[in-house]
Amino acid sequence: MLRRGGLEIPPAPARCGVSSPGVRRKRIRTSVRGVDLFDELPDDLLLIILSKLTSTAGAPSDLINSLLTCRRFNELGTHPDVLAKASAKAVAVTASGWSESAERFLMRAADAGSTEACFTLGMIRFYCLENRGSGASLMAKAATGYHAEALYSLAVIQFNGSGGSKNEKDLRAGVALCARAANFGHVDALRELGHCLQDGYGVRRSITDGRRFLVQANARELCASLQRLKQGRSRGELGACSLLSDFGCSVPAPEWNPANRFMAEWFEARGGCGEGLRMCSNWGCGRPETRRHEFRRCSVCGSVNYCSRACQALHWKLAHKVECATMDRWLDGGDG
Amino acid sequence: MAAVTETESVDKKIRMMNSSSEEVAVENPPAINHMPEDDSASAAIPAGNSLSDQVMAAAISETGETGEGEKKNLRLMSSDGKEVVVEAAVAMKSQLIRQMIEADCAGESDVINIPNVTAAVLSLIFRYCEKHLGDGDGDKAIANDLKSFDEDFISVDLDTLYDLLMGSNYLDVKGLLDLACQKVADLIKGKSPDEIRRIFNIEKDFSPEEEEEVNKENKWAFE
Repeated sequence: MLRRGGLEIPPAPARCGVSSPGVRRKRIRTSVRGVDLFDELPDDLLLIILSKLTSTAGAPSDLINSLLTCRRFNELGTHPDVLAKASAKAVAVTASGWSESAERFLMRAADAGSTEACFTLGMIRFYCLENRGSGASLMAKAATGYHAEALYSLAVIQFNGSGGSKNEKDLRAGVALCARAANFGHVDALRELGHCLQDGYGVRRSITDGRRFLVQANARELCASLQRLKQGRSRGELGACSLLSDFGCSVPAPEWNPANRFMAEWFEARGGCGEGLRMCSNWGCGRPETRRHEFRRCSVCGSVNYCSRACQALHWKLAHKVECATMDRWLDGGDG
Repeated sequence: MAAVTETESVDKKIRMMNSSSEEVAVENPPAINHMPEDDSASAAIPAGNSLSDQVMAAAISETGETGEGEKKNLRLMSSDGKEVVVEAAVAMKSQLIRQMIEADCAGESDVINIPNVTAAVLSLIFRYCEKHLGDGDGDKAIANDLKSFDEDFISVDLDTLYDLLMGSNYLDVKGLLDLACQKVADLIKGKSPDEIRRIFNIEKDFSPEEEEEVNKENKWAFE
């Protein structure tokens, strides 16, 4: 079955029987045999290895670097079985790197069945490339694969009637999608759902139920940030984002989804999202208006606007609480 | 007699390598006389995956004629001509061996041939199997302990890692195969193509045009 190239070499001494505490092997030794180890590895094993690579990748370069190694890796690395397992970070295209080949890669991953790729490409196509139909259907594909973020994003689109006129808002559909996302513990969806219930927006009003969801959202958010802090401490890092420290805020920002980050960077590079259109003031959201006056304003100061109540609540905590002042106050107090 | 001395020296060797596990090597392999009923009994044990390995081992040892509370052992012949003796319950973690036993391919006193794996690698694999005998019990404390064992276990040089990969694939030990594959993936992750080629001795077989094409196609990932 499998020959070792005809070489009779005694097996390397087993090091695993001896574990000296505190001594972790850092240097990776090259193969003693001097033979391409992957040469005799059957394809299906290599596919397993590459799938594990994509599912634990921290950036697209982790996978792409392996594609650049040799023909076999190039071929197997783009195999549907491998791409289907891509993690969110593996398909985290940056706005500066966007190109046709990036889109091709995402398309391939989406076709292979990766929900992360479907969601990311869907968001990019819907908001940045303004291809509403394709974008929405890709997001829907991710949503049927139980992708919570995709479900929530579709809900936001329904609530705002994005990509269409004001009359195309579908509040009930938005609530239904939010509820599905909330089932998976999505914090923003829980918050949005809580507010809808309290206001009777798209659903029968129930203040107690709404309150319950809001509390749950806060609890989950706290849990998540504690977990991040705990992991951060164990690695000796803090979870705070440098952007926020510019504003003097000590609240650690949640880790932004790569798709939202893409959009924020995309529109920032282009100096905005169009004539008379505004961006969601929650920087990490990145969503632009698709028609004038689509988003709602802060009722106190009127200088910021949000795509959803979830973004409003988060931005309030992160930054707006400090800045918000009624219009009268800053019209009168001209002295500073 | 030569066969017996060879077995003993192998036992010593295995004991040297596996400092912590005593059960893998047996002091005196008992002369195993099995009545025909044993074969039918072990064949009658349902092959369903719901049965844990320990229950299986208990069932086998109950019906075994070797009676004195000794666990049943299996003899395996490795590719380099050395015999490896291992507890049946531990060996059953390998789906290949389990199927062989259940299908009654190997008689009780026969030696099972493993023509693709050396004795050293076999004993490594069985060390993993033994530690993971209780898998699937869902005890969290054990899980954390096993995690650090796994990390230590798989931190070996590349050649041993390769042997473990191929061995666990052949013997069909899913947990170890996953562990080894993940380790290789971790070794590839975060490295440049040149570094990957150097570590694994991969030959760059792109023509200059192909290389340029591939680089252009994937440039976006590095912006």
